[in-house]
Amino acid sequence: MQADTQLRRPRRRRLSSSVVAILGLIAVFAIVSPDFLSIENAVSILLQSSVLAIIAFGMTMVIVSGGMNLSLGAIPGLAGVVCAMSLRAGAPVGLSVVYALGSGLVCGAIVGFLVGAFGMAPFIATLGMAGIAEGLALALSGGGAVFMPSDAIQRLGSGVFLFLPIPVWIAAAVFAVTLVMLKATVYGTYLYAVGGNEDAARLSGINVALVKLTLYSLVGLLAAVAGLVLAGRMNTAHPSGAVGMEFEAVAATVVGGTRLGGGRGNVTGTVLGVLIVSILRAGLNMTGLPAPWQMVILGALITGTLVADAMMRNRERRYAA
Amino acid sequence: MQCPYLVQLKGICKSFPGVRALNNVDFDLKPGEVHVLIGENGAGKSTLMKILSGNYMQDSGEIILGGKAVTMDSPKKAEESGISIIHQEFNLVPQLTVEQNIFLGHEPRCKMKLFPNRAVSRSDAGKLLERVGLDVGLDERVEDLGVAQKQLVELAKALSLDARVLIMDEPTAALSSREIESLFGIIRQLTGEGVGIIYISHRLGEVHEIGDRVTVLRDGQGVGTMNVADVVLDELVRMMVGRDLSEMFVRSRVPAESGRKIVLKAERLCVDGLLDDISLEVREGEIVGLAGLVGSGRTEFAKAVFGVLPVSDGHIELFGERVTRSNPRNLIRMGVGLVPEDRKDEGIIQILSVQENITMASLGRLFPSGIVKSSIERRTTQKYVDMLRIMTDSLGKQVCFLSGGNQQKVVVGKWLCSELRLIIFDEPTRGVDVGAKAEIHRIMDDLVRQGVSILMISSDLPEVLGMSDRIYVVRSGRTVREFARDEASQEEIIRHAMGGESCAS
Amino acid sequence: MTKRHLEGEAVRAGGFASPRTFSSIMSRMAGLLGLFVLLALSSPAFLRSQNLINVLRQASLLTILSCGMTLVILTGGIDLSVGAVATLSSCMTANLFRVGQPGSSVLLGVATALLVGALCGLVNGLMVAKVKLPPFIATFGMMQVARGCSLLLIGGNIIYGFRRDFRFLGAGVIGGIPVPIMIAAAVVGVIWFISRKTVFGRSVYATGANKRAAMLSGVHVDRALVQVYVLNGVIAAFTGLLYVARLNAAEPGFGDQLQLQAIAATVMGGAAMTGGRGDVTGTAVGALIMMMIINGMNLNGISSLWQQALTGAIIICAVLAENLSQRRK
Repeated sequence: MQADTQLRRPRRRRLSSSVVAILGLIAVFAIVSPDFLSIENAVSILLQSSVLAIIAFGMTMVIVSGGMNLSLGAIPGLAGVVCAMSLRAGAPVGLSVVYALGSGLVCGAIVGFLVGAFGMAPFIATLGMAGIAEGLALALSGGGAVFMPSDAIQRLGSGVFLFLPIPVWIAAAVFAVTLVMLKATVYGTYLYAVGGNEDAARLSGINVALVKLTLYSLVGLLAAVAGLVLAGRMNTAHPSGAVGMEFEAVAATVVGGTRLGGGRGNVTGTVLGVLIVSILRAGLNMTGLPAPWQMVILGALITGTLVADAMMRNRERRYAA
Repeated sequence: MQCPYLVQLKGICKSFPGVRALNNVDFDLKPGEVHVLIGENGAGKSTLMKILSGNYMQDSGEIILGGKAVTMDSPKKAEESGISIIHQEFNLVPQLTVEQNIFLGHEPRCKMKLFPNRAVSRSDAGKLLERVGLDVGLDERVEDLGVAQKQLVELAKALSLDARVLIMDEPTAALSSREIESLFGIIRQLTGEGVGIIYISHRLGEVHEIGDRVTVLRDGQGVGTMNVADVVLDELVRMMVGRDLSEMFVRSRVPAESGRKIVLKAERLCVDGLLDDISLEVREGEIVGLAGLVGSGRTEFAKAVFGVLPVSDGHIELFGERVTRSNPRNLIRMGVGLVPEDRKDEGIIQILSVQENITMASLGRLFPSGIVKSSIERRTTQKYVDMLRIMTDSLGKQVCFLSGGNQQKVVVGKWLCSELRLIIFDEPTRGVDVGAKAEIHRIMDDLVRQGVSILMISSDLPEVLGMSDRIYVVRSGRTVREFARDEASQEEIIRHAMGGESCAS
Repeated sequence: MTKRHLEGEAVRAGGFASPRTFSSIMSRMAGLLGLFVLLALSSPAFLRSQNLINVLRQASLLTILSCGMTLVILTGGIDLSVGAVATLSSCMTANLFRVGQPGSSVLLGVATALLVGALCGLVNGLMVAKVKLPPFIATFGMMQVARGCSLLLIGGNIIYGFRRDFRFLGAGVIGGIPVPIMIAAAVVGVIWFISRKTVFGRSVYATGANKRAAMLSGVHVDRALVQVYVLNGVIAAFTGLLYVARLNAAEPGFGDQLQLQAIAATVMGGAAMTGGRGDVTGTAVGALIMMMIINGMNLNGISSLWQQALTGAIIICAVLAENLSQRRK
């Protein structure tokens, strides 16, 4: 059983190494720019990371179940646009929010149906859905940003409650819900089971197709929530506002110790992953480098992290065999 | 109306395309007994149990549970009827805990349904673990357990479903003798509680130790059911093998010249966790048989030679040279080919054509310029299609539409086309009908007469005896015995393969 | 036994790997014809020769890009970075070929752009073959980086006004036939030859159809994967140049959606996402269908903003259709 204990160690090392990475990043940026350590900056980083966090929590659940969801960067844009257009058409705020959440839910449900009932590969189904969702948002909005004519939604994105911005509270609530779901409910166990050994899950009498359908629907809904928060923060709904965030969410999830391929992972690690990505982004921002440079560096760093993670796992697998 | 039987299977027949897997098989199980089911690989044991557990539907015949005929159309149905199967390959989720695995799919829940009732599941799981005698934490992850412990978790899972019929498919295959001892203790305890156990095994020694009755299957037919007390082992061996060697293809024998060159030599070959000292030789123009149980390391040896599994100790010499850079590409270049056991996933490429499959391994040699000339490719393929008598209506037909035997011939054709000097056949005739089997044997015979050497891994003993010049028997990753062709008999091979020195007494 | 033993001459194993590929391409041709009739009926402007040539010209660029994507999908992979790589190559050369820029030869500029494309492809290929990252993740990363690089090169500006000799590639006409159409025909021919008539092409199909069996048959699977991604990067860069030459403008972000269109054209052309199944001639038909649909939408006054949603829907429907047809077997 010696091999087993050897295999287990990297898993524990993961969380602590994330913490070390965060502290290291903070130290580096604090040296480069003393302002980095201010409380305002800390709050602003939390605020900036809240949308990514909501998406990443959903992504974590999907990846735990052995799936992938590339539409999580497109659905927020759609939800924001749906909400803004509905408000502009004179609908009350509550109804507009329902429409927005509904749009995310439907997008997710379609994907869940394709993946669950027809066995379509999640990445291609969600890639297609990403095209549909972003395309719909563009078509509905007429191709540009739409002003969000509602104080309530704006407050959702930029209000403050108990010293912290409301988006941070929302992200925290989503974190709590997904944490409980994965760790304490039967449904969460089923997600791990489906991701860990789908055949065993099926033979144990779990309705795998239904699990996937509900999962992708729920995650679509979460992405819509993220979209409302994002639109509220900006005062406007951008049809492509969160595009690219799905990639950051995958990276945050993987950095947080969740494995591509499924069966393993948790949202607590994802919190750390999100913080790493956000601190990197904020720090790069403070260095004053031109935006394209920041984009290249961030993209390369994230890809590099994924490559390093995959190489580490390849090595583990070689030892295991 | 108390029925004396938990389960009765009557006249079960089942065919798969090209193979008659079960032919009119009867089987029954009483409460509190261990009924052992034995037979060679492919005799139909697994198929019969898959029918009982709802994974397959029988073509004809009846399943009677407690006196009532039922249609067993899904695994769920079997589960609800109290039938549980413990699979050879574990049906556990490695990343989940012991407790979660035991109750997966039927968790005790709180009133709200959303949350599991941890109090109930913990105490129940604790009791189940105690019942199967497993001493691990409930929160231990299954991937961190040993093989024996995993097996006991499976057993606990089956018991948590209130199984009255427990099917155990070779439960001792991966266990040490002490673990087997404790498993048997648990089995006796369960039968004391009235559970009926169907025990599939390859190990004849276990029949007397644990069984009450024994049924022998051979080629999809029931050969007989007896009380264990009334039967001696030699009789069981005879019933299992009892096929006539005269049905077999007869090889043309060339008198062996001494001093023929050694083509393949393995010396104390080890692969971590799989092989532990395999030593053998194959000489030019010779068919060497490698016999042993499934899981004894035969296939792993073939893969280690072919460079797919990493060799941890010992070495391999091919054509007098020590192999250093071992990967399939290099080995094919040196003149070695592997006809793998898993034909569908490793041998053929199903959605490609017959032609593309046959020339797959020799394109570089046929077309050094890198450009495929259709006419040459077609002519080459045609040659092997004719030579091997592959039945296909065109060279462009996708291989997945051919019968098993013809698919196997395509794999052989692939290697003939690359002009090899050593071919390793892993289960060359499994899932192949009788006619094609004889043809494959004829092809092997032709090959060795042309100077090609063959290492043949097979579970089909008449095949091993009929085809081989020499035979090695492998057990638990070691070569335990070498036979010259005339010394070997089915009984002798089975004894050595099963570790049956103990049961020879 | 309906199978009969094969006689020497009764062999049909020509250009198409199997009769099935042939019939599936025929059914796509039928779809193309149906669509053609539909569009002709819905809008009289469709049949004007200027419009038809325009459709062909647009389809030709998509066809070229999709040829590379087809190779990638044949290996069972996907490349999400082609749009960004195309953009990058166009931005790279944008400065070289502007009117009044002295001294740079067209050949040199083209070579540089293609080299960058090859490099991007090489990195993608290594990540997929050696690191074993899922292709959609690896190429997504490349997409982000390439997009950033495009912005680095020309900022948020649109650059237009290019040299005539360069523009000839995209806008020129020889003997009444637009140059891009000829280039597309040539690329389809070359890729068809490579995929069907070379040892390399055979390894591509084998790798996609069954990696393990291919490896056990001595196919150099990793090398084939890297080569395919490199080739695809080169093709993407080349397509980027053609776009600049045709539009007479380069802007970062013009290619953001190209990978979706290329994937849509490929799956509509009959390639299976699982690999090993498909053909570039089918892809060419797929690209043509795609462009005809878009053209029909334009002619009927549907906003071009709907294109992206449509592309996504086409991908899902085409993959679903392929899944269902496999399941029936």
